[in-house]
Amino acid sequence: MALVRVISSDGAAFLVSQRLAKRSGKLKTEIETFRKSSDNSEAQPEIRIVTIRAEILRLVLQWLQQHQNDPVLPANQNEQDGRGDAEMGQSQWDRDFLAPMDLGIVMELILAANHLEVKGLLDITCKLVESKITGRTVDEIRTAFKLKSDFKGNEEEQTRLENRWCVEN
Amino acid sequence: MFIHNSAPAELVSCPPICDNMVLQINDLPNEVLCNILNFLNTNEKFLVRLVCPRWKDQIDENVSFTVDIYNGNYDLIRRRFGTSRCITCVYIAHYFKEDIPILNLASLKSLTVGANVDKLAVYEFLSKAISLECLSLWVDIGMESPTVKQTQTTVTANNYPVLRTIKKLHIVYFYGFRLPLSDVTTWKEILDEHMPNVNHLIVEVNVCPDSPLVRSFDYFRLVAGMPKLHTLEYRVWAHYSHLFVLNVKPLTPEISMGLAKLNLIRLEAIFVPEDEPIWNFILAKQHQIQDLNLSNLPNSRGREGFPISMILPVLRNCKQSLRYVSLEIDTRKNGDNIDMEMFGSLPFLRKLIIKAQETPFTEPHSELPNIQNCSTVLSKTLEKLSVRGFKFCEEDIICLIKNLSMEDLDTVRICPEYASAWKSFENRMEEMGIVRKEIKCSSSAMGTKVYVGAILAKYHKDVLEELLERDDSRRVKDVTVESQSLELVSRYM
Repeated sequence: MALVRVISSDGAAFLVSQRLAKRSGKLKTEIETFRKSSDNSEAQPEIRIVTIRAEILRLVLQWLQQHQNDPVLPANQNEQDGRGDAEMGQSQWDRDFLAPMDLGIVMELILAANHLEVKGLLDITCKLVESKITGRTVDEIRTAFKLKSDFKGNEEEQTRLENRWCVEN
Repeated sequence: MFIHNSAPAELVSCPPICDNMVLQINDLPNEVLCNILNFLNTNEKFLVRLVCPRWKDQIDENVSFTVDIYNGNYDLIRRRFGTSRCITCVYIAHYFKEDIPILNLASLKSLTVGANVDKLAVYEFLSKAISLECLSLWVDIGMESPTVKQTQTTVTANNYPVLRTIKKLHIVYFYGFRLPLSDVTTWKEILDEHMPNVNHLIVEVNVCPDSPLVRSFDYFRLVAGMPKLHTLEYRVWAHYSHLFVLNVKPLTPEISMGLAKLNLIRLEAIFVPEDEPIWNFILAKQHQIQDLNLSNLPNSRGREGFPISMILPVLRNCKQSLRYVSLEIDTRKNGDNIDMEMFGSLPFLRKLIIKAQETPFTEPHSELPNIQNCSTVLSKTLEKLSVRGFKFCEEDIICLIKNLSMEDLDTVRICPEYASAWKSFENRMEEMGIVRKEIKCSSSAMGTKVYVGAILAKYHKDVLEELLERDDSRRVKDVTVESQSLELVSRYM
């Protein structure tokens, strides 16, 4: 079985099967680049991910491993078609996987999924954050995400006025 | 098995970069933030403009909007979407007649045009939408002046460059009485000349039994001469399904070639006769078929259904790809008993629906078909199991339940008559900690759907009560409950 070494920003190395690694768009490209530049086709590729620390990388790989047999959706699937699959992808395992994480970890995981191009993981983590926004008031959202309303001058009032136009009645 | 954390000591040299720094939502790059905000509904998208200037800018610039246009909501659309630069999806309602509001359509990806929409409006939209990928057209074939004609004049009148970007074409026919028979030919011309890049064609039909469409169901002709086509979907709205006979005749070499190139043929609620050459293509496409949706009910002209054994080659050839299997069995045919063993070999099965029923065209039959080998172990990925209309004994049901993997299962329906089967199901759930698990999941903020509603609500009132009393119950958007528990739910929602 062909393996690849994936190294986190803090220097932890993960030995992963290439088949699994290739389910990440980024790692797939990296492995292919390595293949092209290396003379020895047997050489084990080594990929350094400078933006992701070990704890997060471990989570991404764990998710990939759990979902390694999922069908890869064709890229041309548009949102309408994809929705059903995205919902189905949210298995009990995914829910249990995400449940213990605090928001900071989820944010890091989102960044990692985005960087490594793992669409399924990006979707479920983004959906999780979305579920913390939806159904809340503006103030509640600010508190939940520790956001400051740094509008300048009467910008906030202006936006509020604009929004009055937007409300459907 | 595949991951070995081998962190050799000499490698652990650089310190963790995110030691005490907790990442906040606004640390995410714009594209990712938008990815999150895109999941919100339209009203919420407007609401969060107030959160902070960055969110406001992103909503106005990059977050995609879906616009529903119908007569009378004009001003509102102009006010709401007049400034948005990222409208990706537009629906134009049936009978829309006013002037199209001024919208920025440069990002439009998907356009759905209702039936009897003013053709100038469609013209306007098509000429502005320079990156349109998906076009859905509703065609009312029961009208005095067929919209088929209208839409087609719009499309053929000029050779818009826009149509070259279209990859997916979805045609819906409904209320059919007199479909002009030339229709398929006209579509073929349009596709050949103006939409050369369509790779996904969906034809959806809801017509009455008298429609000539039943006789000339030959949209497969379109397949010839569409070089990029890789997916063909054919859907019939369910309540007419037993009337639809697939008929690709004559099967010209061009059509054959077109069919052979397809990656996916999806037929929904369509009856495929045994001698129909399309079977060869279905069967040849190993690992490709995801949905199998077949009925062996006879049609209105008394044509016999195919024997169930027909599907065995599909189950065998496509076992890696099949996700959904739905079968309708004619109750008159005693020979067509269902053997559950057929489905045991499908490793990725998600939904299995088997229904035995009588048809409007046949004499009612007192004898129900049998179901065999209920002890077959089904795939662990199963989410829904529905088996109806068979001669069950309670033991059969208990067997079925015993072998389900409960992990991902969200729907099982059991009639209350089968009391001891239900008891056994409850016990299994308890054994597996399912009840507790579901409550946990609903509080983990992912629980916008309570799948277990139908099961739990009826029999575990206390559980439902606990579920609904939680703080975040208002975010539970979709609860399925049996009528007995409705009152209980209404108290909380």
